[in-house]
This record gives sequence, C-alpha cells and structure tokens, in this order.
Amino acid sequence: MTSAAAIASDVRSGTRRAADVVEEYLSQIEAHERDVAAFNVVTADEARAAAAAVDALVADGRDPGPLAGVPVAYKDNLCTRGIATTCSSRMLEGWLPPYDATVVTAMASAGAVMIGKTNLDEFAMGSSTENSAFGPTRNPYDLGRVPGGSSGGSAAAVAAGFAPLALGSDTGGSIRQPAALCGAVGIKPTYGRVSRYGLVAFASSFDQIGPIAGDVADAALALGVISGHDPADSTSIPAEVPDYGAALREGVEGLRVGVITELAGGGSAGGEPDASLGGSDPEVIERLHESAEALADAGARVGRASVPAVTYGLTAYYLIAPAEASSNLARYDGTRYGLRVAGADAEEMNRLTRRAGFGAEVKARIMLGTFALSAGYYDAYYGKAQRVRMLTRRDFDAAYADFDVLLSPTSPCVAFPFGERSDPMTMYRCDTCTIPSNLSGDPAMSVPFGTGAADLPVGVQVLAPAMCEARMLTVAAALERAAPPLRSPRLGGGEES
Amino acid sequence: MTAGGDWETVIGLEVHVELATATKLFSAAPSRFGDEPNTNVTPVCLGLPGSLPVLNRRAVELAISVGLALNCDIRPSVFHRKNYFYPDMPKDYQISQYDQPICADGFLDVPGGRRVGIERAHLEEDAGKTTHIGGADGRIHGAVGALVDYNRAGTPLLEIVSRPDIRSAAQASAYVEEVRAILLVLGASDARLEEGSMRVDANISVRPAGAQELRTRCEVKNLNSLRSLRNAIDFEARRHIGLYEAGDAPVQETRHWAEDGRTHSLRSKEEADDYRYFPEPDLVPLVPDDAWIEQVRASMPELPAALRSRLDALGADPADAHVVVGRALAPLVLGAVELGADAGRTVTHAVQNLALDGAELIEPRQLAALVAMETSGQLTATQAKTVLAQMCLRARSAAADPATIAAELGFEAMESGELEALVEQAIAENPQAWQKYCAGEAKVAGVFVGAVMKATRGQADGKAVNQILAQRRNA
Amino acid sequence: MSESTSSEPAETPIEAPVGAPTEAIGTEQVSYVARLARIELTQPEIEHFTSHLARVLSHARELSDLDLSDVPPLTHPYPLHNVFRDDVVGGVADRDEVLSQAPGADGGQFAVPPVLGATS
Repeated sequence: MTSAAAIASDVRSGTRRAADVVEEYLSQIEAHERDVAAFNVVTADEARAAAAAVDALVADGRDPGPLAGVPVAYKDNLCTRGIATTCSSRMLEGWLPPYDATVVTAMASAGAVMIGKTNLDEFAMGSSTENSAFGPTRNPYDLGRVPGGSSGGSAAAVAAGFAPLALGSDTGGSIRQPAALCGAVGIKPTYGRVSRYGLVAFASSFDQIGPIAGDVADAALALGVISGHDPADSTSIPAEVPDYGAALREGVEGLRVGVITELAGGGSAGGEPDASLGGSDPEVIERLHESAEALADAGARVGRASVPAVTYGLTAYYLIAPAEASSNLARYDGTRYGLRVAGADAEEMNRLTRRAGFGAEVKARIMLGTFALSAGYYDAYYGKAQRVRMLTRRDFDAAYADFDVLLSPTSPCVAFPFGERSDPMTMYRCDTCTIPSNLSGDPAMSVPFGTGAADLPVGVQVLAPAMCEARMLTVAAALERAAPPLRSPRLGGGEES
Repeated sequence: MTAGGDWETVIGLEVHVELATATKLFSAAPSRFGDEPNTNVTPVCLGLPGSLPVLNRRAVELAISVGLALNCDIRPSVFHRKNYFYPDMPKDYQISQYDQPICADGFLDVPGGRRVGIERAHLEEDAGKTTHIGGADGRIHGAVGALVDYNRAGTPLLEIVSRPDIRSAAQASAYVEEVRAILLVLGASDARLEEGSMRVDANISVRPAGAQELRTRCEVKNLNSLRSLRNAIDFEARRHIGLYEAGDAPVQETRHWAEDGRTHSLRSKEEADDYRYFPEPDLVPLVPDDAWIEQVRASMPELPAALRSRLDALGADPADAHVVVGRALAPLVLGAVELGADAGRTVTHAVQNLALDGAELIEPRQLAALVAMETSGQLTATQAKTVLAQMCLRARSAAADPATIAAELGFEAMESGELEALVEQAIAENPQAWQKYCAGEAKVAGVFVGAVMKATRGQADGKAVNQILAQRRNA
Repeated sequence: MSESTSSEPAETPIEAPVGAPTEAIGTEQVSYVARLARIELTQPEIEHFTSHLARVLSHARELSDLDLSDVPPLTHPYPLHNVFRDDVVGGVADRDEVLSQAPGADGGQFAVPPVLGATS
C-alpha cells in the first residue's frame, strides 16, 4: 500500500488509474474486513463511479485535485447524501441524509473517492468502539483488542490498509486515541478550523473533524483540504489555510518544547503520579521521554511545562459534554427521521423510541447531562465546569508563553482487550491526556512513537496554540523521522503493506 | 382586608411579533406562510442531524430598531437553548436570547399620557404548526393523531416584555396599538393580531388601590384581537377580585382565553418548567457595536409620536392622525402634502378610502397627483375613491398612476360647454321642474343632476351641474 | 381539526427534587431526570443509573472545592462574535426526499400519535 500523497501524484500524472487504486483497496477490504469490522458500509459502487470520474478528468487534461483518486473512509457520523449515516446507533439505522457534510464535499472536490463509512462508538460516545450498536471493530495490530474510539473504525481502516486516509471526529480524544492505539497519525484541529456542518453533533463546543492517516504528510495533506471557513458553521474561523506541506520541511531547531508535567506521571521516567488521573503505563511514559529527547537531539529546547488545570479536565468534560449531548440528542424522538416505537400518544412514543434506540452508554450520558442542567444543579455542575474550562484555557496560555508546543502521551495505555474496561470511570480515563485540548479548543495530534506492552503501538501527543497547526505538524514530522519503525499489523493472508 | 374596597388591576404584556424578514432566523428558507406544508424548510428547519444555525443579520437589525424605538439599551447577547419536547419543535429545544436579551430597560409613552416600562425585547425562533386530527370539535381531547408542518419553524420572533405598569384594559389596548404602530412604521413586522403574526400574552393581577405589592399573577394566552385582550383583562381582574373578596386567592398559572368569554386553567405537564437553559454552542455571541447601532438608528423612519404631531400641524383631527399613523400611512400622507396635495383631502382619503391592502405601497407622488386631479375638478370625489382602490390593487407597478387609471375607467372631466349643453337638454325635458327650481325649490335640482348623470353614466361632476343651474337661474 | 397557535407547554412551577450537589443522587431524582429526557426506564434500570450517576458525580466534588469566583465561564472555545448570514432566500429541502425518511407521513406532513396536554 502506498501513501495518499503518492497515489494522488500518480493519478494526477496519469501513471496510475484511480479505478485501479480503488480495486486494490476493495480487494484488501474483501480479504480482511471480516476480521477487522471497520466499516458500517463499504460503498464499492459509488467508489468505482467516483474513481471513473477522476480518471475521466485526467484523460480530459484537467486536474482532479490534491487527493486525486485517493480512497477515503468517513466516520459514520458524517452526513453523506443518499448513503446511510447511522452513528452506529439503532436510532439512525438506515437514515439517508439529504445533504453532504461540508468536509465530504471538500474531499470530493479535491478528488478523493469515498470507499465506505466506518464504525464508531454510538454517537461517538466511547473510547473503544465497543459501544457500537452494530458490534465492535477489532484492532488490526491484535484482533483481540480494541482499536480505541470513538473513531475506531476510521483508525482501524487506515491501519488495516482499507484506505490510506480516513476522517474522524474528536470530542474528547476520539481521533487521537484510536490513532495512537492503531499506530496511525490523527489530528484534532483548532476548534473552528474545520467546518462541523454535516457532522452529527455529540457535544457541539468540543466536536471537531480531523484526519487519520498512515503518516504525517498524508494527515497534513487531508487537513489542508478540509480546513477553511464555512459560512454554514457559525463557529468556523474565517482565516486562510496555510501550506501545511511546507511546514513538514521546517526544522525544529530552537523550538521550545514543553513536556506537560501533570500528564507525564505514573511511569518510571518521573513526574508526579496523580491519583485522579490514574497515571500512564510505564512504557508509554518512557516513549514520551524518548520522543522529547529525540526532539532535543534535533535541536529543540526541551523543558517541563505545567498546566495544572488538566487535573480537573476529565471531571469538567464529563459534565459539559453530556449536558450538550443531552440537548443535541433530544431531536431523536421518533417524529422526523430514524427509529419510531409506537406509543399511545406522542410523549409515550418519544419515551419508547428513545428507550429502544439508544444504547446504555448514550442513555447514561443523556441522563447525566440532563441532570447537570436541571433546575437547582446548573451552577454547581455545568456552571462550575465551564469555569474550569476557562481555567484550562488560562493555564494553556501561560504555558504557551514559555513554550511553542507541548508534549504528552496520547493515551495512558496501549490497546486493551475487549471487555477489559467495562467500568465507565476506567474507560473515561482513556481520555485524560486528550480532553484538555478539547476544553481549550487548541489543536493537538497523535504521532506513533514506538511500542509499549505486548509490542503494541504507542502515540505521542503534540499540542499547539490555537491556529498553530503548521508548527504542530513541523514537530510531528520531526518525531516521525526519529521514531523507531513500527511493525505491520497482524492480519491473515500476509499480503498487506 | 379590603373586602368591598377599591381594587387596582396590574398588567404586564408580552408581545410576540414575527419579524418581516425574507428568510428564517437561522436558515435561508423563505419565511412565508400559506404555502404547501413542509415546502419552506431546510435541514436546519427540520433539525436534521448535522445541521447548524446561522443568524440572520436583518432580523437582528429589525430587533435593534424596535429596541431603539422603545428607548431600550442595545446590549451584547448570547443565545441559549430552551429544552423541551414537542413534535413541532424540530430540535426539541428552542433557540432564544433568554436572560441576555439584545434590547433591555426601555419605555414607551402610550398616547393618553402613560409611560410603560419595557423590561426587554429578545429574539427567538418560532415552532412549527401541529394540526390535531379527530376528537370532538377538533379538540386535542380524543384526537387520534396529529400532523406537523415545519414551514413556520424557525421564523424570527421578537418578544417584547413590558413591566407591570399597565392599569386598565384600555391602557393595555392603547399600549398594544402603539407597539403595533411602531412595528409598522419600522417595517419590522406586519403585526396582525388576527393572523398570528402578533401575539399578546397578558400577566394580570389585582391589588387594593394604593398598595405597592405585586400579588399573584396569571398569564392569559390566546388573545387574538384587541377586543379579546380587553375582555380577558376585565374578566381575569373580576375573577381575582372575586376570589380575594371570598377570602380565597388565585394561584399562579397559565390560563387560556376562550370563545365563551372566560379564561380557563391549562393543565400543565409535570416537568414543564425545567427548561435546562444553557448557552447555545452552535452560535457565537452577538455584540452590537456603537457604529452599527447608530447606523440602524440613522436608517429608522420617523416614529408614530412624531408623525402624529406633524399631522396635527397640518390641521388633521387627532383621531384622524391616530388612524393614519395606525395604518402606517403617515409617510404617504405627509409626502403627498409636501408635494402640494391638499392636506384635508389627503387625510380624508387616508382615513376613509385607504383601509385597503396595498395602500402602504402607494407612492406619495401618486396620491398627490390624484388629489390634484380631484381639487382641479378633473375627478369627482366618488371617482377619486374608485381610482384609489385601483391604485392599491396595482401598487408598486407603473400602472398605479392615477391619470392612467382614470383614463382606463373613462373618468374624463367633461368640457364645460359639453356639460352646459347637457344641462340645457335636461331643463328642456323637465319644464315643470325648472319652474319650481326658479321659484326657489332648491331640492328639485336633483331632477336635473340625475338626468345629467344618467346621460353621462355617472361621470359628470354633480357640483358643477349645480353651479350651471344656479348661473342659469340667476342670469 | 384544530391548530395549535402555540406549542409552548403551560408554565406552571413544579417542585423538582432538590438536594445539595454533594448529596448522593437518589432514585427519585433519576426518575425525574428520565422523564425530563423522555427515556422510558424500568425500576432496575433506574437503580443502575442511580449508582452510575452517583459515581460520576462523586468526582465532581473535587470541583466544589475550587474557588473559581474570579474565573468566568468559557462557553465558546474560539473568540468569535457577530457571525451573520444575509437575509437572502436559498435552496429548500426536497419534501419527498425528507418525508421518505419520516417514520410517519401523511399528505405532505409528518404524522405523529395524538399530542396530549397542549393548547387546542
């Protein structure tokens, strides 16, 4: 399997046909999807038609765009016109949106070819993809383990060679954590950098769409395509999109890199273990420090940064995100689309529909969020959490006065076996390192850096100030160059990359 | 304590108006009524997953202009979500400015001398329309189902909340009329109570005359005319007084004004008031700056109070001035008079002949031309009225020109020689009547006028015929 | 047939179960929240959610110790304001396409079971 950049280059120059590229990936899916279960639907017919259109443009002497003929997998919470968009929920099973998400339109305009819609934790609520109503996705590196979540299908699809590129959404780490667990690169852009129009909302003030790719260059390429102002999203930032590809060629000499003390705990390599955060696997902490040393070797000035509010991040997030979700998911009431369970009156129909349509975790979060907003509790829970959010923002601002980028683990642990984290609080701790960037709205990304327990991939997280994706990518590219080579996933047949 | 004593009624009004925008508050769907169900909708209006709201600038500017007209502070605002389930609420939450309204702390001087405080005016989106099927008399009770049309969902509403400064049904009515006149001159809404583009809820309580306390109030809904507003206030005040005088007290609740001339308690849902408001994350804060506010202020037309005093200065009767301003015709009247039209005739037309759709679209120069034709004798008063009706029908088109319409209708002023000949002929045909006329029986003039009218199919000017008759007799 | 002019439910205050945030959440509150959220729950499910919410909320106690009186709430992560759309009519949805996704439709409208407790 080749990179997205190489595919696009070959297709644009006419040395390779998009139709052939699609067939290669479809046969890889054919061979291994049964084991991995990354997709809710494989859109083979649409992919073949889109590839033929790309080839026709090339034959016509026209440029199909920077992602010409690149197969791409979309997380199944991105609206695709006329193609089922389910959020891996019984509630939306079979729903055909009448419109495309802005990012889907942007990718198609750049020549990308949709190959399927990927599995997720129901409505993006989870960290393992075990909460999907349609069954879990398996990690290509170990089919007995989770791929992470909630964009587990997208990360697994990239790791399994089903697509060189995928889009996911990140509300509390849902792009970065599965990317880390599947040995892929995942970017959560600045809140507002990428339009949310057509992303089925989980928690609107956190949700952000981003790419998952096999390497930093492909992730940067996709980020450039989906970034930019969209008048259909009021929170979209009206700013030019820089040349992210150019950022990859920059060096890190003189850049100030801060390792976040509060997130470097729990391992042998130092840092104060923090009981409320649970700490990270020792191997994960070792990889973090090795990555910092690699940057120092490349000329960066590495130090220790303190962002004290991150210790409250998990708690604040698990009040605000469910509150927003409880409101965002109210519309699934059996009236306009999706599931309906008959009831004697409209209210009973609502209650029975929502009982049958939502899985246990979604119900738990709706209940929690409804409670946090209800009369008499708003100030103590939601209001307080929003102030913690401001505190996080301020602590990051203070850290960025001294550092250009920050480093932390992406996930405190490597991919874990199915069923291991049935306790919700244990599961929620998967997001400890990723949540702070969702609270602040700043960009962050995960880059593979070596392996941990059971020879499974470890991701290092690079964090940067708002709208500084280019600087973040410069550091990520340097980490990628220094990282030990990653073994291939264990899929049967042995024909992949 | 004051059984049998004097009571004072305390009223605060919430006036909801649909703003006259081309599109909805948060989507580019047409904001228009009467179309086929569910045809003026976008993914946003239907609350489809993934859809997002974007605020209509024009709606905000209209809200600011109303706020300025009501002497409000224009303030930064954050939209909130008001969460409750209802089939015609597409997202199962309503986006509303809630506790950070764009307009706050104003007042309105109501004709008659009363100043009513304005607590706030805030923007929010309307719901769709639910039609209940089956059930006796079409009531919800016994209905077998409901149909939902989202055409109205997302229509911009401005809710204007007064302070409890109103003391009588008449004052409440005058307040609503004045608010309506302001909305009309601003072009902010067509403000039709009967058609629901303006809705009034009244918060009513009573207290012993002279007391300062506010007692338990009831909110009365379904007031779709000024008459029902007045009657509901009187009914509800009497009900409260009756309760107090019987040693009882009203409970705070929402009541429904019904056709039987009474208010009725609405059974409420158990959780109805736990709306779980929180800031709408899909919209960013609205921060009107001074330059923008001043730009809106500069573009505002004259307000009703100023228009009434200008009409007064033209010699118009105060009651006529009130009618003219209430119909939003003051700019037309004042403009026509400025162009030289006779003030008396112009005001009279506005009061008597322009209670018509399209009247507000007539241009001042067109009305001035019509009045000039009338005062110069080219048109009779009756003909002028007919031409005006046509001008309303054709408003906004070139065909609305009065001379063109008069020509089409055959309303051409008679040459005086031609009219004289007809009068001569009428005298010749009615010699006995002529003798009586000459003997001083003025009322037989009608015989000749009638004959001339018959001969001209009603187009002759009766006044001119009378003049000719008088000249002949005196000659 | 009749038309509702307002869909707003009647506004009469009711007593929500109250308690200090540090108190353990009870089944009564969970039942109330389930009604607010319109999710039908069985008694064992209510008990399950009661212990689940209690666990999550026990972590929220760490926030109540923080003095954040001088820290304003952050509601929007990126500081934008005054984002508008011009008042220009755009495209509308295809009614047939939209209604084809509805669980109940009749004569161009969305059909639902009878709506109780509203103004008629």
